[in-house]
Amino acid sequence: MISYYLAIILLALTNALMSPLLLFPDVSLPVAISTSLTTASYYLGMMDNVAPYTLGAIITALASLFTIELAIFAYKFVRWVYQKIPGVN
Amino acid sequence: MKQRLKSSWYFLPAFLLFFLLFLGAHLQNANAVSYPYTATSTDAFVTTSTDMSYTITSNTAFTISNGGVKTWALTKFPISSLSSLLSSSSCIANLYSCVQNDGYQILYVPPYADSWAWSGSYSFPSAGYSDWQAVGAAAISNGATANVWYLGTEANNTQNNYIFQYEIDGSNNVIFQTWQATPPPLSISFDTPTSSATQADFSQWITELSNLATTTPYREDIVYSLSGSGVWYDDFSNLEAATYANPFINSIYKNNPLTSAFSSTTAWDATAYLFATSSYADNFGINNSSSAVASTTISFNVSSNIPSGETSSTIPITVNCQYTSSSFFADPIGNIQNGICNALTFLFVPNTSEQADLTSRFNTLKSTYGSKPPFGYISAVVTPFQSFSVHSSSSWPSLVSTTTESEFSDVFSPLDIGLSVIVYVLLGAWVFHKARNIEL
Repeated sequence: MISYYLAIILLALTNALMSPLLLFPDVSLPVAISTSLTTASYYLGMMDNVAPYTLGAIITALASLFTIELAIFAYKFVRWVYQKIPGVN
Repeated sequence: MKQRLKSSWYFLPAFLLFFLLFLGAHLQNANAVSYPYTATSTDAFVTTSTDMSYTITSNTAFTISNGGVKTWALTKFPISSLSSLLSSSSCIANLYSCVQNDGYQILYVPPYADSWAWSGSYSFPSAGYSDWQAVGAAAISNGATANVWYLGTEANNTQNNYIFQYEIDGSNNVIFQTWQATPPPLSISFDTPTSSATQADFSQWITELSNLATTTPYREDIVYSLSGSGVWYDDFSNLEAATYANPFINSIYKNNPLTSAFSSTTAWDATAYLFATSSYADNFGINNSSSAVASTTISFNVSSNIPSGETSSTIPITVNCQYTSSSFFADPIGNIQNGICNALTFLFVPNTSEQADLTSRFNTLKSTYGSKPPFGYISAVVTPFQSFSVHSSSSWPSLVSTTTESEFSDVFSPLDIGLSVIVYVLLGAWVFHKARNIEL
């Protein structure tokens, strides 16, 4: 019961926080970008046929790198915003 | 860390940010079940026709003698004659023999009694029917009500939508009443009933027969089939986890979200039927459409874009609080454990309906914002890369031919593994270096 209402509150907060996004239209990428993404997928597919483990390792490494850097950046950004609050060092 | 966290308030915005990131990642796996449903019949997809109506079209008397046959023009005969008929050895073995000679291939067993049992299919000369067959002499008492009904099609008659009722009245007469029925109204609606709409799950849909009548002499029901398969289901269990108390009485099917999605578009048909109400009603053949009055079939398609998603049934939360089954005085500790466990379960473990509600809300949230920026961009970028390995295995060309790959597998495989190990080692080294020199 308590978990249910906590989840309801969390979902409501999330909904409220993201509601401004509804002002935007649905995303649609330009054709050129979509084509380039498909082509990139095509090349990855070819490589995946020959060296699947290597491809997986590269993707994992890049994803890890990106995630860690993004987390650090997010932390710094939040801290920077927080320090802008008057009275906070 | 060069700077310590000075306040726990750091965590609130950080938590929300990461929650959004999590949600964004989650949206990539949104289980979108779209139903570009189409009404292939002449009915509108959501249709509401007139209520079912019945009209007594025949209620006349006739007499049947021992060993005699019924004639169609007469629909009432003395119960004493029927009793004699039943006691006649020539008729007890197979009552149909007594009645089919009148030229009508459907005349069914008289009064219902426990000694009558389902005997399977019986083929009449010009048509095949499933029917009741006497397995012993039925005791017929005066004034009893015979709850035997038949809804069906006459083999040699164009009058299709008729119900035949046998009833024993207070004057020792068996009354044959012929009721004419119009096909039951069928209505299918969705809570997002706009065509080409896509929603997070195939949920909250309702199929119902409006103004349902569940009492004697008839009942209504809805059956579903995979289009073209010829396989009928009396519920949507193959499509959804149906929840209803009694599928043969309740006509409203309101379903939980999917327990499994579809890998391709699936076409379904829904048809409402009128069946007899009796303890053997099921045996009248939900799979035998010729024995019931049917509505116009409504067809619709259900398709799934992505074959998996979160449903309440895929997040099972069960708690076993049965520490002991002994009485309190025999095992007080165990009973207290049971009580505490039950209390905590009540407080913190969502029940089935709450899980379903949360699942529905979460899926709605995903579908609402999944196509909006920035989540929509993430999805648009990630989607082309989700299946590149599938492409490479079929029609997509490879760097080398399959033959070459096979012949040089002794080279490619260890080389591939070795390269991947090197990459992982480099990743580990980078993480180690980053951890040592992190600047926050």
